[in-house]
This record gives sequence, structure tokens and C-alpha cells, in this order.
Amino acid sequence: MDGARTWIPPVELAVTASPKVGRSAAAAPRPVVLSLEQDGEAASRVEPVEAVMAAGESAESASATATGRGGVLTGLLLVAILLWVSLTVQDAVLFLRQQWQSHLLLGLFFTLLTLVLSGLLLTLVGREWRRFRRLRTLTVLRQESYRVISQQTFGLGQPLLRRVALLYQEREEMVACLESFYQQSDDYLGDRELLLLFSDQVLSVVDARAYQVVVRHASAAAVMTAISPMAWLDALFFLWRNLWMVREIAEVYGARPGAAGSLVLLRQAIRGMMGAGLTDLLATGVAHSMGDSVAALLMAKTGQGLSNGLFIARIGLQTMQACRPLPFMGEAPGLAQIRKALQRELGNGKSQER
Amino acid sequence: MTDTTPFAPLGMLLASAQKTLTEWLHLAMDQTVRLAVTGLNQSGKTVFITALVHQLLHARQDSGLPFFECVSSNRFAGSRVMMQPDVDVSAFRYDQFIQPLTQQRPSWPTRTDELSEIRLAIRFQPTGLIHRQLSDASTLYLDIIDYPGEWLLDLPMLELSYAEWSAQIFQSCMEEPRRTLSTEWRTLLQSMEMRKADDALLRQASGLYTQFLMRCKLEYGLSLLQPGRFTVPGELKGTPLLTFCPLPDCGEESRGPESVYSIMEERFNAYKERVVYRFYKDHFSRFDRQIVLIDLLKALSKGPENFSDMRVALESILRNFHYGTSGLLSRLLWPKIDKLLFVATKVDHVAANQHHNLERLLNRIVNKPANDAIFQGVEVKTMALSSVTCTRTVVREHDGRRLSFVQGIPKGRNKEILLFPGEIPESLPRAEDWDANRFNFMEFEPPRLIDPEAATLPHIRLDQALQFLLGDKLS
Ligand SMILES: Nc1nc2c(ncn2[C@@H]2O[C@H](COP(=O)(O)OP(=O)(O)OP(=O)(O)O)[C@@H](O)[C@H]2O)c(=O)[nH]1
Ligand SMILES: [Mg+2]
Repeated sequence: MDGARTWIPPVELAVTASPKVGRSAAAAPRPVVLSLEQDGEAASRVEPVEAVMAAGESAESASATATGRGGVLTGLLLVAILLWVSLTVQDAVLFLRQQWQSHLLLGLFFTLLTLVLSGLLLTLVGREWRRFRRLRTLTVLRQESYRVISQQTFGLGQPLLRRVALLYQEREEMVACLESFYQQSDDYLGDRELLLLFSDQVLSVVDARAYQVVVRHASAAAVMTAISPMAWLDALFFLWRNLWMVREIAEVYGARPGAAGSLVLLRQAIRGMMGAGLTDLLATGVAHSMGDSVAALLMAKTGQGLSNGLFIARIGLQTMQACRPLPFMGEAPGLAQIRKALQRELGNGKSQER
Repeated sequence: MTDTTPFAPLGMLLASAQKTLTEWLHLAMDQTVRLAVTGLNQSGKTVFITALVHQLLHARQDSGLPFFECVSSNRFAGSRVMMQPDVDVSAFRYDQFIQPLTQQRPSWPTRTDELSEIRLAIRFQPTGLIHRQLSDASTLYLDIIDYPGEWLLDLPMLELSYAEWSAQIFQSCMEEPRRTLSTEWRTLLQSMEMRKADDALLRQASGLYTQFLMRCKLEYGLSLLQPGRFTVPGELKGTPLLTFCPLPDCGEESRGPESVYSIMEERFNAYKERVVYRFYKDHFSRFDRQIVLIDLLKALSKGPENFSDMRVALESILRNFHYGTSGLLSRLLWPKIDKLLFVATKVDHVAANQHHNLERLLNRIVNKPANDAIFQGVEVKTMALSSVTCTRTVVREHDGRRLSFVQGIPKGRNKEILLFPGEIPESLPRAEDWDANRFNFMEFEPPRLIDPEAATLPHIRLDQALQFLLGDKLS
């Protein structure tokens, strides 16, 4: 293998035009250089793409196991739905034929009604599906960024981030930080660095809003549970509150999940919570029972409200992770501030009551 | 708040008392960090510190330091150069170094060979709750110290006797290129009258030895040269402390009190105590954070022998940061250093898509010592950066391949060129792959700023270095 050179020899060329080098000059044509790189030289580097892909996916542990085990269940569900649909169609056809036979007008009326109804149903399902897809794009984006982060690539980050930016560029409050991100992302930055910067400068704004949603719902749930006298009303309210919050969080991150999407997200969040482990749950419990001076002062019912609020908060944080188009690269938002906010809220409520 | 109208004097008194209290607390909370910058000669220490100070003095939210959290989150409240704390240390002349860099036709600062320091005061808004209630802005005093990495090469001498050390040096002179370079000096030693020391002869011997070291450094770019001050003498030039050299083992009879050997041995010991030990005691032990600058590209382009010499030198330098278990050294080297940053400098000599490989290569080289330091609780990071960026990356088609070129003005010319300097390998190439023309890294002229008054110097990853080194102190 002596003759085969594995490296490219150095080259020196003359430049015709000589633009000055400076910060402003370097910052202007930023994405072009980056995206060009990707097909040219990245190809010569051999990297274990599959392995990294797998790693990225396994990081999505909660959802991955969910789909793995849910495969059979989903299949069964599909079969059941198909059966049900075919039965309904058959029923409808029989019914309509009967009507046609009994009277022309009656047949016409019911046929029209059926058509309108099924049209409505189809658009509803279609919308739900589209929204579900949109939710999927968030997951896909996140999986791609896992790959980019772990592989330390060069040149894939800009196109990926442009796709992420599409989700937010219409929001008024995001225009400034997107602008500042583009201005600050120098063309020497590797993909990991770019993603870090984006996470820090752009997504942090979105995170803050999502976090507010979580805090709002958690404290509302805490107060309401503490007030309501009826257990079953509490439970119903609790479920509804969860769904509502999950949906709002997904919207903040740029998806508009329908009912199905919200349910899936909620399921995912609960699974994630279970996945986070009993220890974690216990830890919260212990911390709760030990450090919670406010709750100790309040009545038992308020204590229960607090733990309900914390539960909702945990669901919310899980949902944030499941909806964020990039993974949290520094510290993921935690319960600590929420606990404080909750205690403040409950404390306020208490003092206002008095 | 309290209504002060009826008791105006009392209120004023209270207010002023509160003010002094705040000031006092303020003072108590202000901190000092001593940041030491080292590296072998021409590794880019002076330019690095100059650029760092320049960035800190010009930092604004949009001044191009997005990874330096204190600035990007707008908590930075200005900084300025202060009086330096030590009266017996030369000043780092920021004003003299920045001036040529920001001219219309910029040039690099001159060489330095002394320890020097500069103090900056940085005002910032703390994030902590306690701080925010007490005072609005805190001040961090940042002392930056520049010293030649060659000095750290002397550390192993502390553990050796004169005879042992001499034996080591003669051993290393068995190999090329030291063998040829040291011939003249060794011939002189052979013909020297050893029993009775003669001042002129001593000076001649040590002069030839110094010349040998200088030739190793300048002609072959070797780094592992002891004693370190012989090549970087600073203010000690010409003193008896630097007028000695290793001697071959000679019989008992020629080691009398007046002999060459005993005088040389005496000076060797004095060097150990007055120069090496002093440096560790007066300076090294006071450092809080350390940056080691490494010009990997130069070492890469000079081929395998040079590279491995640099590597050994580097290992020897890095031993300073994982003070072993040996009694004397561990006592000496009980610095407070809690963060250690290894930097591959001048990364703008290669295109942006090569930075990661350069960092990986650096990682491989410092892996072992870095691990040892981590084990002792030091936070370690490696990074590829450029203090002052002189080029930009341009992708061009060449011979049917898309190549990433760097575009800039090479040193000594006045026209820009496009250079593809070769690709950085992820790991060290084997000696037979290390062809003489595999790499062609060039030095560049500093960038011509469009508006030298207003613009900050372009850099690569200086903000990330700042964040690692100072982020926690400015939170
Ligand atoms: N392209 C580029 N060149 C640099 C950079 N930093 C330093 N250099 C080059 O390296 C040379 C040496 O830099 P100095 O900062 O003087 O190095 P030093 O370590 O202080 O050298 P001594 O004082 O001799 O020990 C400069 O003259 C520049 O040519 C950089 O960030 N980019
Ligand atoms: Mg210097």
C-alpha cells in the first residue's frame, strides 16, 4: 500500500479579489460555506453513522421502548379499527339500501347525510393526522441533532437549525433572538457548537415560555385541588388539566397536537416519569416531607394539593423534553423553582384566605 | 422604606452607615483570580493575552463573545486595566502589544522572554440571590501572568544531583541531531584543565553549551532543552547563575575544592535553588488557573522527530500539574490550580472543518497528564483556538475535489493567497506516512481591520476559553 496516498497534498493558489478580513466580513455569508462542506469533504471521513444513529435513538429511551412494545398493541388496535370501520360501512350500506327501497326521497336524504357526516369525519381525522405528523417532526429533528452532537460533524448544523427556525420564525418575540443568533454564529463553529448556541440563545426563550406554562398549570392544580371538596371532581379536573397543559406546551414548541397527539404525549410523559425511576419519585417525596416548611404549616389538604401540583409539574417537564426540537444540552429545567413557585402560590393563597 | 423627613440627620447617618456596610461587604466579596499563561517559545502567549485583554476591554453583548455567558447575558459591566499587584515583576505591556496589531498595516508584537503580569478589574452583575440584594455589581480582579514554558522544563532538575543530571544530558547527546550540534562543546570539555578552575574557561564552556542549546532550538526547533533559562535568560543573562554546564563523570582526584567540577556543581545547585525553586515558590504556587498553549501545527509540519521531542517536552511540562507523591515536589507543587486549559493555538492556519481533528489530536497528546490532573481534582479542558484570526475558510473546487482553503496574507508578502495546507489527521501519522510535503502550514499577517478604532479583533473560540476560565468567577 505504499503507492496509495491517503492524504491530499497541500495546494497554494492566488486570489484575484482581496476582500478584507474582519468580523463583519466573516459573519455575512455564513451559511453558504458551511452547507457546501457537507457533500465534499465529510464524505472522505469514514464515520460509523449507524452506530451513532442507534445511540441517538437509544437516548430517546422512553419513546423507543414505547414503540417497541406498543408494536403488537398498535397492530391489534389497527385490526380492531379496520373491523369496526368495515362493519359500520356494511351497516350503513344496508341501511341506505333499505331507505332507497322504501322511498326515493328518504334514500336521497340519508345518502346525503351520510356523505356529509363521513366527509366531516374524514377532515377531522385528516387534521388530527397532520397535527400528529407535525409533532413527529419535532422528534425527528431531535433525533437528528443527537446524531450531529455525538458525531461532532461539520456543516450539517446550519441546515438542521434552519429547519428548526422555521417552527418559530413567525413569532414576533423570536425575531430578535433568531437575528442575534445568525449574527453571532461565526462560520468556524462546528455543528455541536452551533446547536449549543442555538439552544442557548433561541430555544431558551421558548423554554422559558413552556416553563411558565408548567408553573401556571401546576400551581392552578395545586390550589384547585386544595379547594375542591369532591374527590371525583378532583380526579377529573386533574386529568383534564394534564391534557390541557401537554397541549399548550407542545404548542409553545411549535406543534399543534390534536387530541390524539396530546394523549400520546401524555402517555409518553407518564412513561418517561416511570422510566425516570422510583428513586426519583421517592426522592421528591422525601424532599417534600422533609424540606417543606410551608406545607407543614398548612393543612393536610393543601399538602395534597402541593403534591398534585408537583406531579403535574413533572409531567410538564417530561413533555418539554419530548417536544423540544433539540435535546437539552446543559441542565434541563428542574423541579426546584417550581417547588418554590408552588409554595409561594399556596402560601399566598393561605395568607389571602386569612 | 423609612420616612426620613422628621429625622433627616439620623436618616442620613443611617444611610451613610448602610453605604459603608455595603461597600465593605462589596470589598469582602470581590475576588482575585491569577491566570497563568504559558507555552514554549513562539507558541502565541503574548498574542493570546493581548487578544484576551482586548476582548475584555471591548466586550459588549454583540461584540462577538456569544459563549462568554457573563457578556452574552448582559451582566458584564465593563473592565479596565489596573495597577499591577507585584512591584518586582515586569509589566505586561498591553498598550505596546495591541498597538501594532490594530494599525492600518498591522504587525505582530515582538518576542518576550520574561515573566510579566497585568491586572484587569472586571465589573459584573452577579446572578446569585445573596449578591443581588447586597450590591449591584461586583468586581473581579484578574491577574494574567505570562511566563515561558521552558522554565517548567527545569522541574525534573530539582530531583537530580549534578552528577545525575550531567549523565542524563550526555546520554541525550548520543542521538542526532544533538550529537553533531554538541561536538564543539564536548571537544572543549575533553581538552579542558579540570583541576584548577579558570573563569574565562568556565565562561567559554558554558557559552558553547548555551550555543548548542540555542542551535537545537533555532535550527531544529527542539524543545526539551535544560536548563530552561539558558535559552530564555530574561534578566539573568550573563550572571554566574547561568554560567555552568554539565560535566562528564571524572575521577575523585579532579573534584577538589577549586576544581571546575566543584564550581560547576555549586552553580548548578545555586541555579536549582535561586532560580527554579524561587520560581515555584514566588509564582507557580500562587496561580489559580493555568493555560498551556501548544503550537501543534508547527510541530506537525516539522516531522516525526521534532514532534516526538515536543511531546516529551510537553509531558515534562505537564508533570508540573499533576504533582506526584514525591515529598519535595508535592510540597512545592501544591498550587491552588483548579482549572487547566490545553490550547492548540493558531487554529486559523487551517480551515474550519479541520478544527475538530486538531482538537482530537491535542486530546490524544495530553490524554495521560490530563487524566492525572483530573484525578487530583483539577478541571481540564482542551480546545483549538486562535487569538487573532488572520484567515477565512473558502471552499473551492480543485483537481476535481472540493477543498477547504484558508484565505489570508502570508507573513512577509502583501497579497492574499488561497492555501490548502493539508488535512489534519485524527491521530498521529506513522513515520512513513509523514512525508515532507504532507503539510504546508504558513504563518499569516494579522488581519487588516476595516475600522481599527471601533472593531474588535476577530478570534476563534476565545469566548469559550474565557467561559471555561472565568465563567464560574463571574456568575
Ligand atoms: N495566525 C495566527 N498566528 C498567531 C496567533 N497567535 C500567534 N501567532 C503567531 O505566532 C507568533 C508568536 O506569537 P507570540 O504571542 O509572540 O508568541 P510567544 O509565545 O509570546 O513567543 P515568545 O515571547 O517568543 O515566547 C506571532 O508572531 C504570530 O505570527 C494567532 O492567533 N493566529
Ligand atoms: Mg511572548
